[in-house]
Amino acid sequence: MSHEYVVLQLTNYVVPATLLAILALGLNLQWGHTGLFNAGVAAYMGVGAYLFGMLTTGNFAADFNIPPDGTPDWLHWGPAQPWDLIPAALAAMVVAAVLGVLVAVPTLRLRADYLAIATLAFAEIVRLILKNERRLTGGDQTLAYIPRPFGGIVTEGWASDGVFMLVALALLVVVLYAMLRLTATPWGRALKAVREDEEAAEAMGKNAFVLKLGSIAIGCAVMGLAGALTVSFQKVAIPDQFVPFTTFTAYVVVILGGSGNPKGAVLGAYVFALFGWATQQAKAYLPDAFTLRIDFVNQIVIGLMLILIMIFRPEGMMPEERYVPRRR
Amino acid sequence: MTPPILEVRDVVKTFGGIRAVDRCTLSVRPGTLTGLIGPNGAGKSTLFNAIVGLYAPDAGEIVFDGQPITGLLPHEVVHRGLIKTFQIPREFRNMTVLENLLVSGPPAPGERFLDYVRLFRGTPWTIPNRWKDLRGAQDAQQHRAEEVLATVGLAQLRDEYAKNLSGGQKKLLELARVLMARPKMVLLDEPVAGVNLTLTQKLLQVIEDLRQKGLTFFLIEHDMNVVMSRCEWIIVMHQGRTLTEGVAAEIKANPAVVESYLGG
Amino acid sequence: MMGLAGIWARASSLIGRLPTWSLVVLYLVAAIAWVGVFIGRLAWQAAIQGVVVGSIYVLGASGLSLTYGIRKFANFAHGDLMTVGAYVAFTLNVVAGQHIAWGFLLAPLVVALVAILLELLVFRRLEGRPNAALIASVGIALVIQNVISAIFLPDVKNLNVSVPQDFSIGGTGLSFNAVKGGLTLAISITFIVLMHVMLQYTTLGKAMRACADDIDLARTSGINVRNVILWTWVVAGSFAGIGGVMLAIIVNVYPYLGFFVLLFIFAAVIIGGIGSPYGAMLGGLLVGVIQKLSGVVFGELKIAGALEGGAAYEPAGAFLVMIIVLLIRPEGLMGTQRQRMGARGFRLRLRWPKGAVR
Repeated sequence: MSHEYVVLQLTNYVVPATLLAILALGLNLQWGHTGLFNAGVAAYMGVGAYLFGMLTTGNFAADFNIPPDGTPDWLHWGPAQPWDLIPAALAAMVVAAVLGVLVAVPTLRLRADYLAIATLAFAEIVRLILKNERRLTGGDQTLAYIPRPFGGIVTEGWASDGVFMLVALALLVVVLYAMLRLTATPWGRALKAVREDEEAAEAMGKNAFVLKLGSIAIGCAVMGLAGALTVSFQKVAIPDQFVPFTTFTAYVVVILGGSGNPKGAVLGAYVFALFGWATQQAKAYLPDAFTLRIDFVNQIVIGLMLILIMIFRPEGMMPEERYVPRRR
Repeated sequence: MTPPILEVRDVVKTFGGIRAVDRCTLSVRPGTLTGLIGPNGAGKSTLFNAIVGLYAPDAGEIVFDGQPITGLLPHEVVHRGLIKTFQIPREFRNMTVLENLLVSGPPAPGERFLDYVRLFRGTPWTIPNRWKDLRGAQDAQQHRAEEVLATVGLAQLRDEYAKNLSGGQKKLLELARVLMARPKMVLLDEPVAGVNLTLTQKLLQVIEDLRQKGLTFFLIEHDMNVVMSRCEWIIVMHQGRTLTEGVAAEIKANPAVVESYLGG
Repeated sequence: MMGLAGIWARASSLIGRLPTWSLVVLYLVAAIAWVGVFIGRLAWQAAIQGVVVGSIYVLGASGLSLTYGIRKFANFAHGDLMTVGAYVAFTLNVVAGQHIAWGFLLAPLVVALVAILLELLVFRRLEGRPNAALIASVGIALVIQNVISAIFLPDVKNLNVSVPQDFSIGGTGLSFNAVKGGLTLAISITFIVLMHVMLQYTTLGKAMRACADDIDLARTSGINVRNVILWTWVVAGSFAGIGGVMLAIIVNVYPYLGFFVLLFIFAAVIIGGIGSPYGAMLGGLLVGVIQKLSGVVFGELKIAGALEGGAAYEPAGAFLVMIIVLLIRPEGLMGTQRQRMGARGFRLRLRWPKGAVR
């Protein structure tokens, strides 16, 4: 087994799992920890993804002459000079956070299921805009040639994948650490109180609205980062990637892993991705009639998992940890 | 004569077609244990909710400690020093007893973003000191919480999930939480309803000790023994407004009060 | 001498006495006319299409409103119940070669059965946990969509029905389709009437309304709540089944048919008002017309060069209206007042509605 093969196989599993974990960490803060039923996950991921893509490919794409592989050029908005990756990623996070707050201000007072429906509808509107406004986002023609970290230095397939995997893992560690520290602060505790009983939290002196906005902002920023990383890995951005199913996947991961526990969200992502990866691998060993249907079976299992978890073990694999005060 | 710490002027609160609070006017003097009694449906709990901001009054004014608080959000009212317990305890179920206390009251150090922003103000080498200060403040808060727990007798349940407490213990937790907020005045909504005699005495003792230190208590209670024996001033509400007020002996002797309970 | 003030006062009192639904229809016609001024005949054609599409939404929304009212959660699998109905029609019509009329008989039965199964296996165990029920219903939606995909494969299929050509309405230049338009309207109206009769005049209907209003009170009043809940699912399921057959006839058949329609049905229920099946019916009609009208408006914007999407933004128009309704009047047009929606005004972001605080 050559090392290229090993690296490619490894990144094939680890990278989607890691990006899913980052996405889940953002959702976990909003839903697991603060109890906000934000069903617009795909939109914030998509906005982060597209902003990153548009900033890093820049306007030069508009004047791009026919590249070597003969694909026609396309047109989308972008800065005159493409941005560097880190500022672009930061911009993606900020814009996603701002968008989240803008949507949240009028909708946070809605009851949980209404909030879910409203944010889901909003996410669909965002997806339609991403898909149809060619001048802005490249629309259906997909946004391509999105660069990867260290793309100038490492260009070969497997090495580039490997480097990306390391970058993604590093970012996951950073985000996980940030989430663990944040939820351990008095601010995190106040969020939990809002989740448990918002009225009582208000009556005890917590400004529930501002606390919720903070949770939304940080969670959406993380989702934007996940989106940016996703399209950086794929090198293209496709609007139909940011569909309600993406949001449902994030919820499955958070619920499966353990809502309220950041480590649980990461665990859930890796387990979920393992399941998906195993399904893909199984295709090679199954007769044709089955390979066609195995993806559906995969999703049936996911759906059944959701149902069974909600009925029998809603706290997931790693439940929230009990608060143990430090020894003074 | 000291000015009242709480003044309610002509407050109205309507639900659908029903005037739960109908131009109610009353005042509470500081440092007292004042009782609020009246038959069911008189509007007492509604009035409490309107005072702390859980409901917005349809009309009228509420003045606390000389400041108007009408229409303020509940957390803003708490910041001014006025807090209320719930008649049916609303503990934060999936948090420990200690967490329930730590999360009560105006924002503790470390609860606002500004606290962390301030960490980075000033010269870089002072940052570790600021961090230690922040930690110290949080430790002090935890210390205080443990003291309050000891005062109400819940110290041994510090790390227990609040949902696992018994009814009486939840009542104690309600009281402990409001004490953490360092209030100037506490509105107690039936604090001893359904609580056994021993615990009732203990609760009342805690309240009396705190009252002597300057806290004001305004108490809704149906247990007449408690009200008559402990409250130095009693206000009677009936059909959304004040009927009468006075010391226990006067109220007991007032035929209108008995009328209101019997059917008025 | 009357004067303008007098006329205005007379008119206001007259309008104040009209029932909500008639006001809504009046406003709707006014909106169509207004759009028509700018866009011409297209607006009226869109309105006709909107009524047709809307009547399918009515079938879905009224059923959803019933289960929402009695089980107190948003059933994300409701659209997929319609998909099941569509595939029953497909199996009968294409695979078994029968006349489509049998589909109208069999689909409601099958979907009602599925609905009962879901209630017994899943939703009954999640009583009192509406968020858990919502999430579980998403899981159910995934299961249904993919079971159908696995059995039938996900390519788009069509029924073996011959749909006559559109016929033009006199000199107006508008066209209408006897089957797509006429049959849909006829069936929807029939079922609306059936539901109205059931809700108002049968014991079951009254029991359903009682349970939706206050389930504990209904239980203590001697109503067999469990049976009423099951019957509610039967009704909701059969309506969804019929809606699915209609969708199969008018559009086509693919596994995500119902899920695509789900958000529109939610919009219908929300705009019409939770807790009111009549509101859901009105909402369905409104959503359909708003959807098609906005498609026309966006089409004009595309021509004008402002937005590129054109008719693809049809859903966006309907969703925007739903979001606006949620923010301004969360109880919807005909919703019952006691629903815990959230604050009433934008500034009063944290006021709780009546009866929310113990």
